[in-house]
Amino acid sequence: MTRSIDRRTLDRLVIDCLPETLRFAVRLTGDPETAEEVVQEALLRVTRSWKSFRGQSRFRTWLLRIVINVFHDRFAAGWSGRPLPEDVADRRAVDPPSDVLAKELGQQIAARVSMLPPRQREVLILTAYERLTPREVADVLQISEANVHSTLHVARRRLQREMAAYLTEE
Amino acid sequence: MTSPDDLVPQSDSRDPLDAWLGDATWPEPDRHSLDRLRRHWRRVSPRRARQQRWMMIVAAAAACLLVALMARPWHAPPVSDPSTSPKQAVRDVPPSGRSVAQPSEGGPQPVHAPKTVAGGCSREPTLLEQLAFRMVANRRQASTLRQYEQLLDAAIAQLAADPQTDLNTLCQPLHERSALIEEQLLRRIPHLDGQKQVAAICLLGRLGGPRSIPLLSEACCYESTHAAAVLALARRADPADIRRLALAETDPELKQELVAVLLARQDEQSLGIYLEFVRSRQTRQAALGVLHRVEDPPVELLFGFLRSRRHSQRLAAARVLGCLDGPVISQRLIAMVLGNVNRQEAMVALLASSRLEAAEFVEHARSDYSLTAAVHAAQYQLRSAFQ
Repeated sequence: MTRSIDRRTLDRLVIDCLPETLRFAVRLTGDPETAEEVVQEALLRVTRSWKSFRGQSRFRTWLLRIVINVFHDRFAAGWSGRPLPEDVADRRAVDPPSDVLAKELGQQIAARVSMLPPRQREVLILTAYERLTPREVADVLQISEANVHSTLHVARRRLQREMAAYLTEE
Repeated sequence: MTSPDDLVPQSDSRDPLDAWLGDATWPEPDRHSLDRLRRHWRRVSPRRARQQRWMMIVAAAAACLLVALMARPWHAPPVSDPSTSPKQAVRDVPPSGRSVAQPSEGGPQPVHAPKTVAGGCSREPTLLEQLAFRMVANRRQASTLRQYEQLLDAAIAQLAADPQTDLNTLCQPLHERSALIEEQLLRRIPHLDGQKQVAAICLLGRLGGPRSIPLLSEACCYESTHAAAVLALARRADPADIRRLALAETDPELKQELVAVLLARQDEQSLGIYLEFVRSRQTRQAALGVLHRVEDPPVELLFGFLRSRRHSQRLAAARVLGCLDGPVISQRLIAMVLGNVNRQEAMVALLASSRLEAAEFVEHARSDYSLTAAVHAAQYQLRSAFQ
């Protein structure tokens, strides 16, 4: 029978996972300040439910699940998309340098990923950036593995369409 | 068709999306964010909470002790008069007669080295031995891989030549290494064409896992592979995805196949979606038409749906039960009517049935004063729900 972890181990695990958790929250919300709020709330939930963690999954995936639940509770219900970043170089301006264009493209992609519908966003970020396997993603999101694959497929197609439209704008 | 390996952005993947995803840059959090979060955790962590509790307990105990010490002089008992109190002396303990062992002269005894075990000893493999083991293992692995590749080639060729080949028999020797076969198929399918591609997709439907879903979804978009891909997808897709495929499908035969998959699945979610198809006028014919295709329809689940909270689901389940053939079903329905258990729904099912005993019971019910109203109400519901 698995046992819950002790307080000292919990402390160590939380501190170790904090940087990547914050990074994940930034990708999920698209905004660093909001991400910090989400992680703060998630840490409070950890203090309330840490005894229920019995090592059935990795601690990191358990923590990511809590972050996603906080995100859902606070934002997914009222998700309506956010405007794209405005402080980007105008591609039609006089010959911006290539590094500026590359930075703009990177920001555009990030913004569009963070604007995907919540479930597609979660699946894409967890697979592409958190490097979780489909089984781990299914475990975090409490869905089937088949659902992970089909949602990922839909998310990628959507991004491809949006980026193709963006890149062919003249 | 795009590569199905689309889980991780790889710089050398052919899909530009992977390169874009790798280049995505999010705004950086404030450099003090992490510090703030660490401080927040230290304030709220359970370890800290326990430390604080212990500190409070210790402080409370110390306070009590201090109070007790300060109050003691006022409550100390009177000092007894030494002239009157009984003498209490410690008794002398007689010597035991045993002497204390003297320390041995010279230093501690030397520790003898353990004898070697006769008959050989274990040791780390040398570098040469490690290389030799690895070569043998790789050779074995390569020959196994080649064997399965050959089996797969043969299976694809056979299925392409004769699409009526029994897939179960064909896939049997390949099931043992289905993960390996899936990987091979995912690599090869984009480079095959014609009947071989269709055959490979059929095999992927039998042997593949969730990883094959993106490629199968893509294959649904092409006319030559659409049917095979849809059926392959239906074997492992979620009920909601099958519903979407069935609604979008224009080929009536394929639509029925997809609806049949839902009925055959034997789970509540799939059956619930199937009943939606029965309920809907556009898909009712297809849904009821597959009843004879499914060997083992979910009869118990259907009886369970007679108690559903949703009226439309109860009626649809009743309609399906009525269409299913079987004396046991009719007997159960009759018992439900007579026992007044979901009477309306059971009566709807009997009205929809073509079995002789159902028809005889309905005739009897029409003339039975206690059941007439139920018959008329059920007739009305059947007509209005399924016109």
